[in-house]
Amino acid sequence: MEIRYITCICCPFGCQIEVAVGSGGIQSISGYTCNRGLNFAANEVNHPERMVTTTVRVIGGMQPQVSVKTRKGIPKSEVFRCMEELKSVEVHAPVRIGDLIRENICGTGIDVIATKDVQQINFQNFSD
Amino acid sequence: MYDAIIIGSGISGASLAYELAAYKLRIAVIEKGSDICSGTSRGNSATVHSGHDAAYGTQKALYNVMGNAMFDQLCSDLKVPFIRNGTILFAINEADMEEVRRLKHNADKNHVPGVEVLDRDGLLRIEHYFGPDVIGGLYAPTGGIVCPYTLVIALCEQAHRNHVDFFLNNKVMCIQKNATGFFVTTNKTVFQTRFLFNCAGTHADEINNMVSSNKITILPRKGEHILLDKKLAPYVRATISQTPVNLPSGGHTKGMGIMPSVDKTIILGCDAHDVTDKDDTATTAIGLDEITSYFEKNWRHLPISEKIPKFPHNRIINAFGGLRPHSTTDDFIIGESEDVAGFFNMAGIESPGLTAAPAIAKKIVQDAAEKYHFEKTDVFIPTRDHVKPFRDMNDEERRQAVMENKEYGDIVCRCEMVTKAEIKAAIHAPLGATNVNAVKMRTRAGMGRCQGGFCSPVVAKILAEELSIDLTEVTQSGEGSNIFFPKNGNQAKRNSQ
Amino acid sequence: MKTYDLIVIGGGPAGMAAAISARENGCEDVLILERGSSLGGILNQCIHNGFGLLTFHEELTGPEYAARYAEKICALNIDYQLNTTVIRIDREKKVTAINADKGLQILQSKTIILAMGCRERPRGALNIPGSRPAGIFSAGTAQRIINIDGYMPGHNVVILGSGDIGLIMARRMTLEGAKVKVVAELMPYSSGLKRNIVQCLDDFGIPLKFRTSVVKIHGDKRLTGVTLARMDDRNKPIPDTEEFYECDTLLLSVGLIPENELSDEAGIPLDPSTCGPVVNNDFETEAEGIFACGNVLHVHDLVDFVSQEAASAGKNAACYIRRNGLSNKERTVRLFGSDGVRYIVPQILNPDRKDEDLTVRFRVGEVYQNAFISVFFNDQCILRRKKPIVTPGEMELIKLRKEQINQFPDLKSITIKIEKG
Repeated sequence: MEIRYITCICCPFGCQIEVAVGSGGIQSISGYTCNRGLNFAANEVNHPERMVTTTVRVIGGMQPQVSVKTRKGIPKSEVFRCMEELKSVEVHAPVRIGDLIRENICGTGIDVIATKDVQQINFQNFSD
Repeated sequence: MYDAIIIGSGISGASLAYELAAYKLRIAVIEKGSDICSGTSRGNSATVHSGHDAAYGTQKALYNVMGNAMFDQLCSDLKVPFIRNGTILFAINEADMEEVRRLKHNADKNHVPGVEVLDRDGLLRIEHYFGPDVIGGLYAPTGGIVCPYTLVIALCEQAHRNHVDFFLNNKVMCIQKNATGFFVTTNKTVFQTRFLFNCAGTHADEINNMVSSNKITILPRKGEHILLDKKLAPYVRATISQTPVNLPSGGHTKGMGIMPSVDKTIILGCDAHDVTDKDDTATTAIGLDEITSYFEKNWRHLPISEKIPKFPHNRIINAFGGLRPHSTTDDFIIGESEDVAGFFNMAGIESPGLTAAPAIAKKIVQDAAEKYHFEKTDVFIPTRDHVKPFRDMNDEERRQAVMENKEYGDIVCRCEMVTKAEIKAAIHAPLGATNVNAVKMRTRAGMGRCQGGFCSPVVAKILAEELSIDLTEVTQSGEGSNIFFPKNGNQAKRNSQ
Repeated sequence: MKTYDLIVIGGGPAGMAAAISARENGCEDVLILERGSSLGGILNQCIHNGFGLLTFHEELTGPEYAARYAEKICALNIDYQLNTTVIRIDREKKVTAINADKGLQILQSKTIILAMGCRERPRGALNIPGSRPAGIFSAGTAQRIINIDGYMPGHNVVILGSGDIGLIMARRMTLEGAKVKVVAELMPYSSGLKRNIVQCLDDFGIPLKFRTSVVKIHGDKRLTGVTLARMDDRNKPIPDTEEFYECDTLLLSVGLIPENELSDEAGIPLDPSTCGPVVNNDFETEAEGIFACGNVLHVHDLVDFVSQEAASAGKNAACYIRRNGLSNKERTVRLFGSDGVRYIVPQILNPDRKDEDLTVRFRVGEVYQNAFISVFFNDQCILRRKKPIVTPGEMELIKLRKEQINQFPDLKSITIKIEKG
C-alpha cells in the first residue's frame, strides 16, 4: 500500500491530505477539512484536473486580449493542448464576462469562457 | 565631405561640437553607440570639481579650475540645472588634517577660489552637524553638481540646432590620411574630413594610434556608484568625503563621497578598479561591497547621520558603473597631434574630466581656429529653448501645460512625474530618443523608486506608436536589446490594430 | 469649490470596497480617482483563479472579482475618474489630481481614503552586481506584459523569489510557452501559498532552490544568464557554490512595498515595519479624516481581507462625517508586535468610541512551529493561542472582544508576541 501526500489546491489553506492507495484503489483519505478537499484528493490520485486560465486575442476591442478560464478543471494531461487550441481562437469585441469563447475545449466537454469585459472600439471613444 | 569630424558624443565630443558650431564649418559627430552620451559621460559622479586636489602643474589642474568657472554661464545658456553646493573634506585625525592643509596649499597654487581650512566649529557653520570624531576639514565652495548626461544632451541638441550632423551606430574602423585631411571608415560608411577630433573616451588610444606615431595608452578604470532614494535629499547638501581614503582596491580615486544630485537622488561612490574590457560597465560584488562597507563604517561622521543614524540599506534604489579613461601619462592628452596636422586629441578625460571639458574644448577650438583661420559664423545660437519638466512646474504652470497640450495630463512615470507629452517630445526632439533607455536619459522616466516597473511597458508602447514600429522592435538600448517577443507564435502586428 | 464627502485614491479592490461601504453607510458624494484606464487595479492582470472564496464562496479570477465590485460601483452611481493621477494630498483633505480631460483639479473633501496599493521592489534595491541588459523584469511587470499587452517578456526564464507572484508567474510563463529553469528563494522557506507550490511548480517540474539568490547578471544588450549561489544566514553568498544558468529573462519577485509617496509628502506618519500609515482601529491615520486600507496600509495575501478592511474603512469614513469629524481620542492604547511578531495593524486603539470587537492583523518574521500567539494587556497575558505553524507568508488575525478590552480601564498597551512552546 502506498501513501500519497497531496496538498489541496482548492483554497488558500492548502491542507495536507494523505491518500492511502492499495491494490483495490483508494483505501482511505485523511487530513482534509472540507468536502472540496476530500473530492480533490480522491480525484488527484487517479484523474487529476486543473483549471486553465489564459488570454485570447480580441479583434476590434479596446484591449488586445480578453482573459478566459475553463469553467471547471480539465484533465491535467490536456492542459498544454488546451493552451495550444486557444492560441488559434480570436473573438470579436464586445466581449462580456461569461461569454462562451470555446466550446468543449480539447474534447473535454468543458467550455472556456471570458472572465473580463472588453468593449468595442468605436471612433468616438478612440480619443487617443 | 566635412570640415570637422568629432569621434565620440560624450562630454568631450559634445563640448567640442558646441564650440566648433560657432564657426563656419561643416561638422559631424560620429558615435559608435545607439544614442548620444553612451559611454562614461552617462555614468559618473556628476561632480563639478573645485580643483583643489588636481595635482598642481598638470593640465588637469589648469582646465579643472577654468572649466569650473564656466559652468554658471554654460548651464544657464543651455538651461541645464547646476548647483554650486560646495565640497567638504572632513578630517577625523591629525593625519587627515595634514592632508587638508596640503590640499589647501595645492588649491592656492591652482588658483581655486575660496578654499578654506576649517576647524570643527567652522565646518559646523556650513553643515550644522558632523559626527563627534570630526575635527575639521577643507571647504571648497566652488564645488558643484550637474547632471552629466543632461549636460551632454543639451550640448548635442544645441550643436545640432547649429547645424552639426550626428551619426549614431557608427564605429570607427580605420582612419587614413589623404591630401586634404582624413578618410574615416566606420562600420556603416566612409567619411571625409579636413580636421579630425578624437573624443573616443576609453577607446581614444585606439583612434589616436590609427593615425599618429606618438602612441598613447588608455586604461579603463572602473568606478561604481550606489544611488539612494531622493527622500534623503533634505539631509545631503554639500558634497562630502573624508581624507585620506584608503580603500582595499588600492586607491586611484578621489575618495568615497556622498553627494546630492540635481535630481535629488543621492550618489555614493566611488571606488576604482582597473579592468580590461573597455566597455564593461557592469557593477561588481566587490565594488558594491566596498561602497556599502565604507559607508556602514563611516556614516556616523556625516551630517546625514543626525537624522538618519545608520546607513539606510533599504533606501538603495540602484547602482551603476562607469569607466574612467585613464591615460598612462596620468594627465589629459589635449590638442593637435605633434606628428599629424589637423588631428586633435581630447583624450584621457578622466576625473576632473566633466568639469574640465568645456574649458578644454574652448582651448582646442581657439587654437585650431587661430592656426587654421576658421571664420566665425554670425548665426550661432548659444542658448537653448528648453521646456521646464512637468515635475518642476508649479500647479499653475501645470494647469497651463495641460490646457495647451492634453498629454501633459497623462502621467506615465509616477515616481518621477513624467508625462506622455514629455516622452513624445523626447522622441521627436532633434537627436530624439529611439529606445527606452534614451527616453529615460532625457526624461527620467524609469529612474525613480520603482525603476520603471510601472512605466517601462508604457514608454515602450509610446515609442512603438511614435516611431511606427511594432512593440517587438522596441529596444531597451539599441540593437540586440529587444524587450518584448510575440506571444502565441503571432506574427508581429502593427500596434495600431 | 464643491466639497466631496469622500475621495478614494485608487480604484482597485481596496478603493472600490471602501467607496461602496462608505456609500452604503450614508456617504453621498463619493469620488474614486484611479490612474489606470479601468477600475480593478492589479486584479485586472491577475487572470488566474483563486480569488474570493471567503467573500463570494466561489473561486474567481482576478478580473471577475474586480467586476463584482465595479458592477456595484455603477449600480450605486458612485463617481469615478480614470486615467487620473493624484499628485498631492494634504491634511486638510485637499486633493490635487491631473488627467488629460479635466486638466489639473484641486478637489476638497471631508474625508480621504488611501487605497493606492503597492509597488514591487526592483533589482536596483537588491544591489545585484552585473551589467544592465534588457530582460530583467519585476514579476508584476512581466505579468502585465503577458496578460494585458499580449507579448512575452522572454523564453528562458529564471525567477528570483518564491512568493505568490513569483510562483504564479512561473506557471504563467510555462503555460504561455516559455521554459522556466528554476525558482530561487533567498529564505529557507517560501512565503507563497502551499497550493501555489503545487500548481505552479510541482505541476511543471520546476525546481525550487532555497537559500539561493542571484549573485551576478550577465549579458550586454539582452540578458544571457545569471549566476546563482547558495546564501548563508546573513544573506551573503557562500563561496564556491556559484552556478551559472543560461537564460534570457530574469523575473524578480522580491517584495512589495506599499506606495505611500502621497501619504509621506502629506506628513502622514508611517510605520517603518509595514511601510504603511500608522492607523487606529477605525483605519484612520494620524491625520484626522484620512483613512487607509488594502496594500497601501500593509501588504496582504488574500484580496478578501483587503475587501473587509476596506469596507471597514469606508464605514468609518462615513461615521466620521456624521460625527462632524469629532473623534474621541482621549484614551489611546498602543499596539505592539514583539518577539517574533514583525508588525501589527492597527497600531493604535481608541477604545472609548468603539463598541465593537477589535481585529488585529499581524505577520511574524520567521517560521514558528508549535508556538503560542500570546496577547498581553499591559503586562498581563490575557490570551494564548497555540498554532501548529505560523509563517511570514500568511497574515494572522486575532479578535479581541470588546468585553475583554473594557475590563481594563487602565489599558495602555496591547502587545502580541510569539512564545515558543
